Amino acid sequence: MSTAPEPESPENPARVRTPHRAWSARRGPAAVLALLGSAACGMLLYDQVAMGYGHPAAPWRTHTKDWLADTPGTSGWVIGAAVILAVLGVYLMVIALTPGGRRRLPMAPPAPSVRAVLDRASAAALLREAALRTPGVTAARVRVRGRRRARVRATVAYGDVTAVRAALHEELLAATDRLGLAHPPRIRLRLTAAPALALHGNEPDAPGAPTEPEAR
Amino acid sequence: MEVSRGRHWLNRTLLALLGIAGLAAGCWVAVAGLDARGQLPFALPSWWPSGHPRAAFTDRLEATGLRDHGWWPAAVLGCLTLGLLLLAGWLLAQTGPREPRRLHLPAPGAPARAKPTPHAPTLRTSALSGVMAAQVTDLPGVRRARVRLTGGPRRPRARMTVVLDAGADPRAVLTALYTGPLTHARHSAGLCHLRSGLRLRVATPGTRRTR
Repeated sequence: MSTAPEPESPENPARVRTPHRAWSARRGPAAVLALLGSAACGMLLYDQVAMGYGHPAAPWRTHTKDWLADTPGTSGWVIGAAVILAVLGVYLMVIALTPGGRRRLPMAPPAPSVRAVLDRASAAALLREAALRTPGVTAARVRVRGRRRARVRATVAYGDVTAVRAALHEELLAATDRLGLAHPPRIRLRLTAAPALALHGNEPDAPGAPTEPEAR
Repeated sequence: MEVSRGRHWLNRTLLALLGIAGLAAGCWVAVAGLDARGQLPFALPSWWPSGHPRAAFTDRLEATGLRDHGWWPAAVLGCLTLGLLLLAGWLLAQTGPREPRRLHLPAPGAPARAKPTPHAPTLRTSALSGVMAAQVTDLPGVRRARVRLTGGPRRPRARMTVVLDAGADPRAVLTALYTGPLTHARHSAGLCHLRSGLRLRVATPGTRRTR
């Protein structure tokens, strides 16, 4: 941010940079660890204070202490727990060092101060709807994997497959553009012809007819 | 969604430190146990501590005689209390950024970054965010919206979750959002910039608006 900003307007797109991926805050793992840690600390503290007032140590504490004293370090349980702990440590380090947020696709911002993301599942749903709008396509499955590629599998029930493919491609390109993503995903199409039985009695675009946005 | 930098780095640093600690402790105990069993496929280097880590730990604790001091129980209590407070604070930090109750408005004619005078006008945050949410919901293609203004009374940051109708056009909605409610809010609060983090998603077929 500059120190003397002029009010921004959408007409100066030169200042709009391509958004980098926002790093996830990793709130979930942090909350789980903090909760477990504070629970353990609280239980130990409670027991310590109780012992200070002359109460005997809590059963869970003596059990754990006895088990730890009796079990040799060569026990399979100890080694197994240690391996699990090491794997958990690797997982935590991976979580700490990778950006995360793969389910949020950054959108092209209208102004530098705006950051917008579109859910990956929502992008897939919109692309699927666009595919189903194409005449001849009766079923479609869209998977947006990673952040650069969308794989569309469509079933063609009638019509010339080549023509349907061209129309579908066009429809999907337009839909991708409407998503407004900073890095539009590349479309990979795979068409399958429906069995001959399905030739009759299939409405072309009944399942995916878009609902009208309501004006209120 | 934009997150505050501080929390993001705090979480990541603590997770990395805990991960390193877990990895080191787990490897040490597992390698020592397998070595004692004679099942380790490789020879340990000469600097590797002999014996099991648990024995090393308890022996060292006994040798220092720390537990015989009168202050030992108090020290344990203090460490546990401190740990509990720090961990509870870390847990509370995950609840998300605060919303200030009131926003400071710049005095008429004053530059936007002037220091507020004692009787500077203020605006209730929920008033502005409520208006913003209503305006966003009125945009075509938007089913509902949630707006929060975080980041402090002087430089608020708008965080929005926008649920779109099934056939909506996200790019058009984003443009309309920026030129409409966001610009309006920026003018209302007298700001040069209104930093905003928007999250757009499409309503699932199950969620229908009742009227």
